[in-house]
Amino acid sequence: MSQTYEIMFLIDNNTVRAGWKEAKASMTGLIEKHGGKTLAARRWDERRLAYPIRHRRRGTYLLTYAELPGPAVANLRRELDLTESVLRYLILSVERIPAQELELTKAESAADFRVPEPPPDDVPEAEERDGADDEEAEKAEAAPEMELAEEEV
Amino acid sequence: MYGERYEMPAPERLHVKDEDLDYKNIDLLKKCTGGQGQMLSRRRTGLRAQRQRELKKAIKRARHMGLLPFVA
Repeated sequence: MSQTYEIMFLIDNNTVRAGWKEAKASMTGLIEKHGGKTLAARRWDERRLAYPIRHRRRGTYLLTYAELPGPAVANLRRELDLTESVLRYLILSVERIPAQELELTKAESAADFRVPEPPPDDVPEAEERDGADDEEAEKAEAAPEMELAEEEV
Repeated sequence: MYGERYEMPAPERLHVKDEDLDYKNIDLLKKCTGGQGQMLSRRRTGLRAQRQRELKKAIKRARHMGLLPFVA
């Protein structure tokens, strides 16, 4: 017996900068890996977090609706706990998918849909921190590239 | 002064009765939290017991997802 679940992911903006499509695909891939069927998946919002989570000040939310067999949920949770790009997740069972979600998912998968880049204002905060690990170095490298990309447009 | 019972004026109620109490509905949840991010009492929200429990759930879920602050 499967049940419909609403799964909200809070994804690290660094992962999102590397490509929203890929980030989304890896999340829906996780659901499918555990025997689920993704019914809808869309970018819900990119916003400033109410409090820093793992030194991140901003994050991107991915809202998905999926059918999962019951025992798979615990496995999915375990895997999400280990996934570094997921800062937080929330799995809720729902009776049915809101009608507009399917349309919004369709709209997002349309070719001309452009996902706005996350603003870079969470970068300085991380750089100030002492003992910057590899991830921070990556972020510092990623920032100039992004500026270039904006100039091209 | 003593002997006369002083009644505290009832706080102004919010009108959130009919709206969807969901953790994604942040604007609404923000109205139901105080300045430091604490939940408001039923006296303030004007909700029935069951709806207030739904509100509680929604606020806690929103906090978990980093949408609302924990009490500062």
